[in-house]
Amino acid sequence: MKFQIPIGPQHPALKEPISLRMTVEGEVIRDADIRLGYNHRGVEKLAEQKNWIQNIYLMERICGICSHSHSTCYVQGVEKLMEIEPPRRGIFIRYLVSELERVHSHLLWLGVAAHEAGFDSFFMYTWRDREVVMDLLEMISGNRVHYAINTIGGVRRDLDEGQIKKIRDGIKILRERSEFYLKIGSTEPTFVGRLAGVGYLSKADAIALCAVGPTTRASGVAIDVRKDDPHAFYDEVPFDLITADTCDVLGRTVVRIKEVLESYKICEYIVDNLPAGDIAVKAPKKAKPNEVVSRYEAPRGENIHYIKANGTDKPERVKVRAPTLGNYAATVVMLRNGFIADIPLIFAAIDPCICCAERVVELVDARSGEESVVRFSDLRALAAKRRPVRSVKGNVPWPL
Amino acid sequence: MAALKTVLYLLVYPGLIFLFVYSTFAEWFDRKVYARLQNRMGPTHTGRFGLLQPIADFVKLLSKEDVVPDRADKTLFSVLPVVGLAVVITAGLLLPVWYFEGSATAMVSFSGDIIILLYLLSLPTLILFLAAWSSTNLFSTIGGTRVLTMLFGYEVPLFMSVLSPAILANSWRLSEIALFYQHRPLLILPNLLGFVVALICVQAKLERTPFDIPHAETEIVGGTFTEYSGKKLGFFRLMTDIEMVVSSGLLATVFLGGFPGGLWLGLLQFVGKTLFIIFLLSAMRAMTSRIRVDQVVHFAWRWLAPLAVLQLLIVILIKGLLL
Amino acid sequence: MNDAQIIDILNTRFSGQVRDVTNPAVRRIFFTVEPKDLLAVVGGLKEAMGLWFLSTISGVDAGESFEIVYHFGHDHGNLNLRTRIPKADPHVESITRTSRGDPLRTRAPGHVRNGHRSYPRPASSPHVRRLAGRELPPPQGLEVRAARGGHPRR
Repeated sequence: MKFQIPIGPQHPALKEPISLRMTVEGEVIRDADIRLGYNHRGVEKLAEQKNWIQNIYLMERICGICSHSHSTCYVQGVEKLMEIEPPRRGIFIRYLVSELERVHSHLLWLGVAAHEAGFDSFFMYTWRDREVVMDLLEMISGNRVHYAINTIGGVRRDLDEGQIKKIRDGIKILRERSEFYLKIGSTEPTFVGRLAGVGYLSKADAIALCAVGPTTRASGVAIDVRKDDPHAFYDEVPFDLITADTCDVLGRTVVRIKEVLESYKICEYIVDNLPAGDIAVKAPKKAKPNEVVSRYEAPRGENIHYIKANGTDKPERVKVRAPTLGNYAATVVMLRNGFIADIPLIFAAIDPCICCAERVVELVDARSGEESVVRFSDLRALAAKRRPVRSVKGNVPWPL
Repeated sequence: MAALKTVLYLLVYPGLIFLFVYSTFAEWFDRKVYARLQNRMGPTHTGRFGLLQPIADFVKLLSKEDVVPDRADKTLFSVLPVVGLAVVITAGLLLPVWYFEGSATAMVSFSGDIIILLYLLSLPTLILFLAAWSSTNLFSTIGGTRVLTMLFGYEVPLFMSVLSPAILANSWRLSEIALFYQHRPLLILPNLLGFVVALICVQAKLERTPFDIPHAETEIVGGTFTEYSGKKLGFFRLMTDIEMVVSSGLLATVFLGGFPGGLWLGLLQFVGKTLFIIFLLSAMRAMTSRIRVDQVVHFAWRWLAPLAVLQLLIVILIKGLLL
Repeated sequence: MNDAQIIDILNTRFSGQVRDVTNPAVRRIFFTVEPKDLLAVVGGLKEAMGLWFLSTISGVDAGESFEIVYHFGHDHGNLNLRTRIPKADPHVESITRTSRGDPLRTRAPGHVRNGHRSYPRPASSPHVRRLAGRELPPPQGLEVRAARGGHPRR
């Protein structure tokens, strides 16, 4: 007997609003229906009304966890449009923050996945270690989230000797703890029992559905923008592309922890080889009419920005596709024939950053199936008509 | 006069008030151990060392709004928390720790009371299922079915392992079992396998990690407790706490030799032994992750039940050889 | 395969269908295709270069028409295919290779499982339906609703 369970938009398993409607039969999921749009903020339209510099901060606020990836992807593109090349020191500092952000995002994910699986001790430990990374990022940029370290033509803050020493110490602590997590994450029996075999995505499916990031790397597909489309920096840094063959949530966990260990290597390379010089070049106010595609490997996968300039100081079009949106198609396939108990883990394993992946949706009439596009002002008028605005009751007696 | 005494025993010691105070203390202890194992602090603010925190939580719940869902069976929905509380407190009266009137060591003691105690401890599971069913909420229904599915797993090993020391002691009466092991403490050792099995089964009965699937927060919102709020939820939580104390008391009586030594020493032993068992349960909670309901049943029938049978065989062998 | 080789393939193999090939930056190639040639070119690129990864599809409001840009990624950079469709009739075929006919057109209760139509909105804020342009799972599967609002040209 099939019935529909709504997971979301509000649910303890989800950190952001998204609606997953599962059709289940007993404890087995037969189908899944993903609905977006609860967190849409109109960022792309807003970006066309702000100038190039203001947009850096707008792009950063698309997401909290992967804020630097959006800002860097945008800034990379705009620098190409304006045909300026940031100095080497600026590039090194920019990608140091990128790799530290990757570490913080993967540790966060590890904690969240452990919490979804019921392993709260692991959750507490990884988030305690995340504080080390957050302190480093705060020391470098002044903020724990939304680092605002990018500017067009380079970065805004420099590193000095004391900070570099603290970064090295922090990485040493983190490295030994991450190796401990690798051991737990792959060998603790109750935890592995929840992760192994869950959320299977075959290599053929991962390729056909164009999945990105650790989700697809755990299915054996070796794509990584840092290797395929390297920017000024990644072709000289030695690091490995991590893949796994198990195609399930356990593979994704192991891929992410190993990526964290690779990021430590990259961070150490950066602080060891930091070149001297300026951290930024001056950028022009306007950009010549041109278009650019900028790709960046965010912690969740490939982040792609398509920016079009029309000769003024505001962009013509900024299109953002965050990696989570690319993984939604794969999520549905993964959810089929899984158990209800696995829903939070399967969904958490793609590392969903739902607010990154928001798109405008159309309204569908539940009874007739008619699709329609409705303006926001019409929706407000409809709501006001249905439920008149009541005045707030004052002086309600306290029940105790 | 005797009636007044009985009422006093029922309400103050060893009844309602003592069990309430002690089970909130046990909950504090559990939360502190769990937190310290996770590199956190646990309750620190309310009262000295946070000792009053569970009581504060209970009082807070009592003062919250009590919402009964529209389509729920109202009588059943409202009565079940109270019935559950009554059941576990009654179970608590059977523990042989209360010293009154001569050598009687439990407030109620008769031959066969270990079976009654086990039965009374199984009732809360059924009550939780009924609570889930009467909530008519989708998540509660799933939680309720999971509660019953788990019952199929752990109930049999629990009964077998708890009854093994009773078989060795040749009695179905808790006070006599405790007395037997107090006179021959070495015979506690053959029952250690049963102790481990019973610990794991009690963890499953109390629905704590790794067996907290029926009210898994991240999957089915609250499971059985999704629709409960206010006083009813407060009573359910108190029921779980008292169930924890009574189950540890049962394990301490049967496996650790009871609580000898008169009124005060016996009470001290009670506190000490139950806290030891609760410490083991908290450590188990901190060190494992939640497993799925089918994995629970699989684990129970693959490992726990055979080990419990093994324990029974050991007991029968020893009984034949030594006694 | 580097940029020069890719441009070579585009100019020789798809000479009639592809025009305005540009290479504004290293590993970035843009070219334009007519809507009627879209499926043929995409299929041909898959054969010639093993191109399978579609990053995303962007929609840009270009006044009288919509410009749809398909961003493909591969080991050697990024290939961007442009096509223009008139606002009056904003339909473009999906490059999804669907199995068993077009299963996404089945009507399921409460939903229209058709992800392929773009349709016009009132002139004040035009709307382009983003296509789920990748091989989708069998029927009763995905319904990813995605669309993007453009803006009238300043």
